[in-house]
Amino acid sequence: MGAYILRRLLLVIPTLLGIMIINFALTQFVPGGPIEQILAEMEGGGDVFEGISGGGSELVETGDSDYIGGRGLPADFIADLEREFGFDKPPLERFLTMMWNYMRLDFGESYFRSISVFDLVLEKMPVSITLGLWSTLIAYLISIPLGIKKAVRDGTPFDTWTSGAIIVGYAIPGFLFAILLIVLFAGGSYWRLFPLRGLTSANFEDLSMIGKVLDYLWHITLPVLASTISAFATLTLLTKNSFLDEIKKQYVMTARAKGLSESRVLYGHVFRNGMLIVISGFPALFIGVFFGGSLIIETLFSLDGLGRLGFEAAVARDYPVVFGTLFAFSLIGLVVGILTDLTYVLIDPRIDFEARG
Amino acid sequence: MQNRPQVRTIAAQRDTTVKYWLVGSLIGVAAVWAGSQVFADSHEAVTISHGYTNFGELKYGPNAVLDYVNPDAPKGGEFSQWAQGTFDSFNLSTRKGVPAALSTIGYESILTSTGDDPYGAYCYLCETLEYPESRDWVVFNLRDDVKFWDGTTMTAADLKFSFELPLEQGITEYRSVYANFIESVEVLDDFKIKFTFTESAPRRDVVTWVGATTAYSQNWFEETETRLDEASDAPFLATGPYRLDAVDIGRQIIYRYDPNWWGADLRINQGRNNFETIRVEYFADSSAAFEGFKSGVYTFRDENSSLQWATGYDFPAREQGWVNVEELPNGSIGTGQGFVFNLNVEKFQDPLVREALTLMVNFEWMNETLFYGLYERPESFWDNSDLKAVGAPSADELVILQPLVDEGLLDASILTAVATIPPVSSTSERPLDRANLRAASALLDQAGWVAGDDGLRRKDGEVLSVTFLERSPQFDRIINPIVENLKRLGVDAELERVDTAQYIERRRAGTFDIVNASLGQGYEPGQGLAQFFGSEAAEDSSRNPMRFKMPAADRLIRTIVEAETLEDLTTRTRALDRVLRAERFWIPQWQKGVHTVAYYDMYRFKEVPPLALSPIDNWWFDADAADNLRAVGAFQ
Repeated sequence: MGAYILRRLLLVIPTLLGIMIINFALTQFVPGGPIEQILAEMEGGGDVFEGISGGGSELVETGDSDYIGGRGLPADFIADLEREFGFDKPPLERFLTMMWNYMRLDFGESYFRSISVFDLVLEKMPVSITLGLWSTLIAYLISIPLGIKKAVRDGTPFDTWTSGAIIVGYAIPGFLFAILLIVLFAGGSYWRLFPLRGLTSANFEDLSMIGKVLDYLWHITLPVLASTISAFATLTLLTKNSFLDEIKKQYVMTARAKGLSESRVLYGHVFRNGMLIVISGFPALFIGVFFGGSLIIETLFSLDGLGRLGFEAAVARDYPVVFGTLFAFSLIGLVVGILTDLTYVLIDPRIDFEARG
Repeated sequence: MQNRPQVRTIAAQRDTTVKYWLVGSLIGVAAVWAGSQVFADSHEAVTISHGYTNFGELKYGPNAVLDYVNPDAPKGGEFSQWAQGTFDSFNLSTRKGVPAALSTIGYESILTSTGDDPYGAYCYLCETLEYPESRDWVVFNLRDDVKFWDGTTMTAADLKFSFELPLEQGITEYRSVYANFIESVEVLDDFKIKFTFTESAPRRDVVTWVGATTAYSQNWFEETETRLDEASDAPFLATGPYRLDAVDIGRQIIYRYDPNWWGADLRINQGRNNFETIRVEYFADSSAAFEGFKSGVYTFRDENSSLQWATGYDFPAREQGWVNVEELPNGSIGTGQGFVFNLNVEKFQDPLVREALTLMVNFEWMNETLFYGLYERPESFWDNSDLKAVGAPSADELVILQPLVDEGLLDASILTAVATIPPVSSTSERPLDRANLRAASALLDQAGWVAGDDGLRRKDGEVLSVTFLERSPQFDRIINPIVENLKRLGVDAELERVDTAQYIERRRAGTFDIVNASLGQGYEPGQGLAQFFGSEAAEDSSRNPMRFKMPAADRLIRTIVEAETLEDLTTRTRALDRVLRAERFWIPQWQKGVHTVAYYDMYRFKEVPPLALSPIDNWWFDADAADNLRAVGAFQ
């Protein structure tokens, strides 16, 4: 087993290198770079979220010609920027420097903010954890019992209408649902029950402990609801089908035959086997919980999370952020992949990767 | 280029945070200073004045109260507005960090300008200024009562420090401009500073340029080791009326009036800076932000969407009469927003083709259908000002144009033709105006682009294709109907939308057919014109994306730069406007002749000055009305 794990870990290195090489090479061919982004900002048009957050206008923001640059930038200025970003060096040298830094876990600093990439990601974590944790929790708490119930009552009207409901939920785009929630429950036209934005109130620091918890829950209700709406279908049906498979097996018949109660059959025997497939997904789930991002939900509720960070970095060509997070998340992803495989072994000892060679 | 010193109040009210780099305006100046004029004569009378203008008289005398303010306006209350996105810095002078809205609200400069005098710059941190007719130098006699927020007195040394700060910590360009404009900066005594200019510095720009210096405290910068080129979590120590009070990063900023502000009793400040606090609420999403306004999270809104303006403002708070929705007069000069052709592309070098394609933009229909009748069409690069060319050339303009025609630089038709205005469509009912389609077809036939069996127009085997390069999704719904119109004409048209970085790259490289450009000019056109319409900068200026090169225009620009009276400036500018418009490289789009604002019925104002809507500067708070609104639950 140890040899297997070691082999898998060693394989991570070439995989990671491959990911980095391909992406780095791709960016060499993408037209436009961070310097163009800076020029756009100087002309007053660098908003990368314009396409999704609305608010743009058919009236072009010209800035005031008094203090906006962008009138035929002299080559000096651009050359300065290139030097600062290191674009005056050949790509290979840039790539090697970058990889060497990453290996020492030095992810550098964002082009557009005076903050290290590590701190930048850390700064966005509360939003991502909030959305990830609560929506996952709600999805699991509802989907698993619901899936079991549907399996037990397979083919009944209950099964049919719940399927209908979760499929409708699945079909509703989260952002549309979010806007509906905002207009209905947070806007000025109907009921003003929930706050429009943020994770906490402005006076959060002054609240009591219980007040803080309530304030937090009050703020996250709408965004979590919006990001959960489509999450039920997959998990519920997965649980249901997995249970159905198990229920039809011989050992269930045996258990029933020896006179066990229905709930004992279900939760004593079927549950363990039926949940294998769900539980083995846990390691990957944690990534989703911690690093998940939803660009549109975050934007609608003015939450500053990883979804917006990733989009912004890609569109604005903030390469340190793009490659830093790519490296870190790829590494985590690969390690978690190994963990997932090991979880299989843990919950089902019959599986032996080593024997398969 | 508008040579007006930056108006703090105008800058302050902008919703969007556009990074203004401290020395941004210099970049343009630098690129063109080489061609500037030299006026040298050292034995002249020295002017001592309370203000400066290149042309004519100052509107206001010394110690005047501004016309558009209410000097008896009550003080207090809160003004709140929204901003989009997020922020993490209060330093606009660096590209690092996302600057916060209104982060320059606490900064003051030596000279200030007003919302109703496009040509004057007035002493603000100074009592008077002195300059010779040659403008080889300028001396500012500073006020001795200007205090920084920490109570220390602002001196000439602070200003010298502030002026030279970007030398070390700004972008390289500042150094070269500084080197080429400034011979010396001398502190004559504690409250007297002298700037001496090099011979090559453009005389019309120099005084207002140094006058725009923001006052920072040398002590503070040195003690705190603050740098201009790093993001900052608070505004720099300065002298202005509003200081940062509270920040909730990414969400809310509150600026508070400084009760010890040195300038409260200044005549020019009467009736201004009336609010006790200024609050900015941040939203990432514009629909969420609008919902925020409806429910009173913030209380002033400058609407920028015609769709929202026409259809969105019928919410409960308005029906209750709590919210005023008004179109306020906008007297500012036009933005000159339009599509421009890439004149380096051979097919667009034919004026017939440009004219034909221009005919297919049905503004009347767009305005009626897409913009709810809110916009008007720009006709000139100096719309809404006296500098705009109208009708046939006047006798004075003819004097300027005739020699150019005689030399063969201009076509003789310019002498008799009325100034070009964009074609009008006869129908606002349908996107396609058939009369214009026929006219355009005739023009293309004449130009040699003939329709083939497949309906596409060809010349020498090449299909006439046109691609609109865009970055903003807002333009999709506007350009697509134009594309359809062009297809009816037999043009293989399409819209190509790319992301910002790519857009800028292609715009700079000139690999496009048509892009957007805002070519509107200022009240005091000068050196900057070369950046927009000059041959020299045509290949590398982001302001001349059409790559417009025309010897006649270069000549006219030179005469405008040399203009010394407002009459000359006006006549020469009109002549240039006429010549440029006749070239038809610009398809005018639209502009808004009003400010579309909505606010909770507790703000009052005397009048909107023509040049800027700046509620933070000169509106005031009606406390009784606010109490009533709060009592009925309009907002928390």
